[in-house]
Amino acid sequence: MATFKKAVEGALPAFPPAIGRTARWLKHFGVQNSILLAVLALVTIPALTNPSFTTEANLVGLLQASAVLTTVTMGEAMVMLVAGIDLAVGAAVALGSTILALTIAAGHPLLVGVVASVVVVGLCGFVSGLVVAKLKLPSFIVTFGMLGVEEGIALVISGGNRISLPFSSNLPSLMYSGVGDIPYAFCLSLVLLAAGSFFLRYIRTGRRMYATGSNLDAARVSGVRIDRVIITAFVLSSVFAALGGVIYTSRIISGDPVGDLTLNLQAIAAGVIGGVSLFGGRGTLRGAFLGAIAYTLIINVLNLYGVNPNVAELVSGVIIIGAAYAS
Amino acid sequence: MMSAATVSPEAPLLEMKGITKRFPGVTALSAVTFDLKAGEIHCLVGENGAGKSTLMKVLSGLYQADEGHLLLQGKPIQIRSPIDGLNQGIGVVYQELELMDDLSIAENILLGREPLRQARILNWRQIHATAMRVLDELGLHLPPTMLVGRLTVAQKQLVAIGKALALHPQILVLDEPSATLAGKELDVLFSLLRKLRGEGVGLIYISHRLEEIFTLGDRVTVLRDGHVVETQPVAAVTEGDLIRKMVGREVSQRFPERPQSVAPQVLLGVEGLSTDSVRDVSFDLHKGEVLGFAGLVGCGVDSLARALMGIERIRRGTIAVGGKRLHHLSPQRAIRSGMVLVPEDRKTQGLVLIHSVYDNMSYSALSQCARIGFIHVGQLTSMVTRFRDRLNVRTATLHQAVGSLSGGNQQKVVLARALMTEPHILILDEPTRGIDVGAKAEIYQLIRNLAAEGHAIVLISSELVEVTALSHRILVMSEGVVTARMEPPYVEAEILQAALPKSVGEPEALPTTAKGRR
Repeated sequence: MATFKKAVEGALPAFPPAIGRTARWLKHFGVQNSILLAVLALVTIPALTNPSFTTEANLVGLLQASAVLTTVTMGEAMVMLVAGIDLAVGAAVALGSTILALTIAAGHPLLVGVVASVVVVGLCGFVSGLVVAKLKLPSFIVTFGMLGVEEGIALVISGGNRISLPFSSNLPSLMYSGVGDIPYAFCLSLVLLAAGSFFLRYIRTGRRMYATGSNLDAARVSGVRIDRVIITAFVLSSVFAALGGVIYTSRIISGDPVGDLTLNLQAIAAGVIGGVSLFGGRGTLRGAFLGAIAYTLIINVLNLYGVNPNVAELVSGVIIIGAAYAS
Repeated sequence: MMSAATVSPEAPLLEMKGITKRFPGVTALSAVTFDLKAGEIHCLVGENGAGKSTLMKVLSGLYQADEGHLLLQGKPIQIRSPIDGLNQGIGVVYQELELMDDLSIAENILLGREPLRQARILNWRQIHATAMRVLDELGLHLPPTMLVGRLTVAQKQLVAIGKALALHPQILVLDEPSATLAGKELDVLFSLLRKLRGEGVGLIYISHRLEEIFTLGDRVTVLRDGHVVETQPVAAVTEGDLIRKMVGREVSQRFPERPQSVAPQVLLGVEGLSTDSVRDVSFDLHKGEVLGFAGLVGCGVDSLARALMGIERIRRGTIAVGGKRLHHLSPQRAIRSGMVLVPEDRKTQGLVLIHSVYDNMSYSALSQCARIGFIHVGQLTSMVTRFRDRLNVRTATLHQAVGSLSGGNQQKVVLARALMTEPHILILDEPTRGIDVGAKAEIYQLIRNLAAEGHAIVLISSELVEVTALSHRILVMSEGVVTARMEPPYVEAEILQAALPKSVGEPEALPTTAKGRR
């Protein structure tokens, strides 16, 4: 192995140094941005081989379809960074959607509905985080329980039925109009990406999520208040999920207390595709975002080629196990 | 450091008075009194489990003492948490590397006290500049943005020290900082510590390598079973004194006499064995013989041990036990034919730390105590008890978690478990790593006794004294091949000569780097 490496290093100067540098940069770029390259491939290949992929309807549809998953995945990624897992994001979306639709149906302004769902769902995340951090229970158990709590609240307050939005509501325009062809919902997701990335890079609590997820005990003895970091991660995951619920409501133009049952699986798989480690400490929101885009593209392409879309479910399950094995 | 100017060197910087710390079932520290002056290196020695780490955890704020109090420059203080301790100028470099592989060097060094700009935004420029300065001080020429996961173990150890230094502590505790260092890195560490001492920092230095205490220390305190045995200037003690005080008895027979007789009967015959990292190894192991394997890390002897146990794939060659060739070797077959491996890393390969002593010891013996698939509990219990007594495993009860025992006692549990399979051939991979002097002596005696009883033993150890004192013959390995076969009297220099890889000149550079990558 060592001799091989030596041989390779010995061979490098044979190239002009500029080429060697470029090659190294390309390799580095490729490793760092493999998810970006994957997304490009998932766009380019169908664009060249399937004419219906590049239709305006399909491309806008893709942006609409990805808005919920990108938002929820970024929240999930925060919890994954602190070496946890949030199995309640799907239920959080449903609860957020239900509260929002009920508030609007009761005649309150949109903003009140958004704030109400963010606060209530965020509170659920706070409770999950509190239990995980203080009682030191595994997050998958706590959030699995919270899934039931949130789902239950949504079903009780809605009576188990979908809540239609009044015709006067301007919520659907979040999804169905936008900046040019780009839906406002997708723009919202991009804004969250920027804000979340800033938080993880430049705010102390955000940056300490990496330390906490990487080595909990070491973070503690270094003076990191790990409880606070963990709770913040769970609150943010829920807040992102509540906003995902807002986007989801605008998409289906009604409040849905059941929601998309597979969203947990999708968000975790998308995060893993985007390079967020299942074991904590590693990953970026950009990766999570692109992972969600890649996931949406995979489903879209399978669709265009006439593959049963339910196969996607199977694929995401395999991705999660495969990724866990790989790391 | 600022305080050093104002405090006279004789006044204690730190006093710990009557510190008592109890855990359920044990008193880890009882009325320990300890003091540290500014500008001195105070060494702390004792067997594993003597209470050194507990005492330091009380000092760092990780544990709260049940009784006693702390004085910092004569003023009583309370240390409620590690953060509290850091803020009061007490820096600790823990024995387990407290670093994050996924973070950069700079982030690791400044974690917990990251500098901020306005609006509570992280000041990355200052983070990197500070880290750069610390790295310079450590003599590490690495970019501060490098991920810690890519460093060698030795480099990590230095970064961990740098992390404590970045705070400019008045008191710096180093818990076995040298365990992973060698050669040049050790020199860097020592000169750094001397420089800090010159600046008036009080240093508490914990190490199992007694010679370091004589090179580095000003005073030494011996702890045994949670009590202070004595505190003395280093110049006033000898290595023998220290060992005697640590174990509380004469360790005259650190290495028991080697029995001369080795039966002619070959128990294990290895012929032309090759694996991915070992080439063409042949040897015979006789009844009653201890066959030592010496070599530097990465010489292939680990691979050889795993191949014998059927864990690593054998490319070529044969293994015969009692004259019968073994085909399609697997760990189950190896054990059934009478071989057993005591692995190098007991914590990950040998024991389930959260399970009890009883459970850990019984895993290998279940089949011997079972009738038609049902376990005969009484028989199992008497077997476990017998082996516990035979190996002198010191536990409060058999139902105590193995993880709560000292390293030496953990190692005895692993050995007991291996012996319960009633093996003829024992492969011991680093049987005394990380255990204290007293437990070492007991394990040496045990190895002798086992050989005398007719067991055949393969002894792999990186401690040359250990191999030379115990083995009837020594095979030296280097770069996957046997480079020398030796018989007593051994010359250590010759062994080392044969162990050095021919392609690389610097022996001390090897162990740390090769080990760190695993």
